[in-house]
Amino acid sequence: MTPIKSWSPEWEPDTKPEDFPAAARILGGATSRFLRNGFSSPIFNKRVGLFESQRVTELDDGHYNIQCLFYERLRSLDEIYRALVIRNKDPWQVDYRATAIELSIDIFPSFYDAVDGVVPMPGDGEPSRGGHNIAVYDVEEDHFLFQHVWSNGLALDSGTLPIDYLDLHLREAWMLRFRTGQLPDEADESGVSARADGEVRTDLFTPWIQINQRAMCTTFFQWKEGAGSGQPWLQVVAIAKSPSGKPVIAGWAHGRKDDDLIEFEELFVWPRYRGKKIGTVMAADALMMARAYGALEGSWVETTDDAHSNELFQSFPEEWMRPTIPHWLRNASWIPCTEKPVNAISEPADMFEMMMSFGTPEQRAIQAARLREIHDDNSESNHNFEDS
Amino acid sequence: MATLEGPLSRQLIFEPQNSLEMSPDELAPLVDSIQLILNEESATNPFTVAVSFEEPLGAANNLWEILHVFLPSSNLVKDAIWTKIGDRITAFMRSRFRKPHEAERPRVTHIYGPRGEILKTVILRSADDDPDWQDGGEDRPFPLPRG
Repeated sequence: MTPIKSWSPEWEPDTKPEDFPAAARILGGATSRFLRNGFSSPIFNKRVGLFESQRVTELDDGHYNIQCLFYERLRSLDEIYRALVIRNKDPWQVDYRATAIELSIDIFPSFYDAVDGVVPMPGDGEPSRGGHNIAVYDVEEDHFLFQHVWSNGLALDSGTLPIDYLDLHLREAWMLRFRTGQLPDEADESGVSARADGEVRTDLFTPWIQINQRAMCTTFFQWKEGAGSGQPWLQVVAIAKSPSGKPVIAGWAHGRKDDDLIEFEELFVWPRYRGKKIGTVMAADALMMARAYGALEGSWVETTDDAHSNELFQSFPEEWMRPTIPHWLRNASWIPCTEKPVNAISEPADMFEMMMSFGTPEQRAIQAARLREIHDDNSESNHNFEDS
Repeated sequence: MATLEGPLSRQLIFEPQNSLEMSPDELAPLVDSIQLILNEESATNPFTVAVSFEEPLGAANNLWEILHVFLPSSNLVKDAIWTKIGDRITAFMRSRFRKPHEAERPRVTHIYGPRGEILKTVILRSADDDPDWQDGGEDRPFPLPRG
């Protein structure tokens, strides 16, 4: 039997001191000063967390398990409540293995001298002092319990925040999870929600995947159950070769499906792997997989903190590889497929045509085979989320 | 108050860590007073003082209020004129304790050399505290200011 080998990603910030400001911007929209002082946005932390914690295990020649975390944006106070309940009902987090829910809020001067950490509502005319990260871990009557660290690295502090404060001054909320619960139609009893073509494993790893060594990247996808709303999330992961030749998760896309609509809130490629069209491949794969599982309309959503990051890119030269979705892909995703417009992904046949318009010949062949197989499976079992 | 134009080799640049807590109007008296000191020192070719602001992005606020000062020459902190400039800076930062809700926030000023290295750091922990001047010693050089 082939011994199992595991490794973690080669963690290199790939930043020389003189590159530091730009590298910081690429990663998360934080300027050099802010990164130096721990000034980062929740989505930046989630991206680093996913990339840093990934683990690749080689089963045998060409077959791998990939450990990949998942994060999702919580859109409302109700979703934060639900995520907190999920997180706290199982203190050992066997089922969900959730980390704290991280919020980005507007902060006001009265936050600075809050007695015993009991943060009041800001007074009339109190000016905002920008954003601040907190991690909420419970809710009581009319307030949330939270922990936070000031950005210059002072000790962990805790406090309470009125619910009305979050109602008015919440920017974004994110939850990072190791395991994501089960989808009723796809998981086994152990709660694994991952799905791909092949064996299903019951640990934290994905089902095994076979990596096409000749392609620029190999993508696979998983459906996850959202902690905030319970709606399914599509996670598309791109595996590329690291500089040493080992597979590494180089990018990922997350989309939330609500009936016929799927909204992709995340499309990210680790800076070192940009400029190789990995983002384009992932975006196209994500649309195809969404359509294959019942989505009729798709959109790309830019979150607030990511918008800051992308805004900064506008002042950069082209060689900094701005993270944009190709316009032809973006347009295709925005058009309701029920209207049968040009470029819309309305039928599987259209998907095949679209698929043939990008990627290497090898990759196209693999994608085509995979899509046909999925399509056949769906046709036989009439499988879709509306039935579940 | 000069803008970020002209040769950086002749400019002192003042930049708050968080531009939402220290506005250009609030910085103007400090900058103008230091410009007067520099003019007295060299009437023919004085250093100029400029301010720089960046929109605060991301989401992590700081309990400390921090001001960054970039110097065109590291020798400036060794000159006699630095005593006057340092006094102006500490007086300005001390006055910040009077702002509502901000009496408990320590005030920190980092002084950088032309390569981005920290030359000095001065900390005020309360309104009545003596300024704590510390020499720079960070291994990692700080990125150069914009311009």
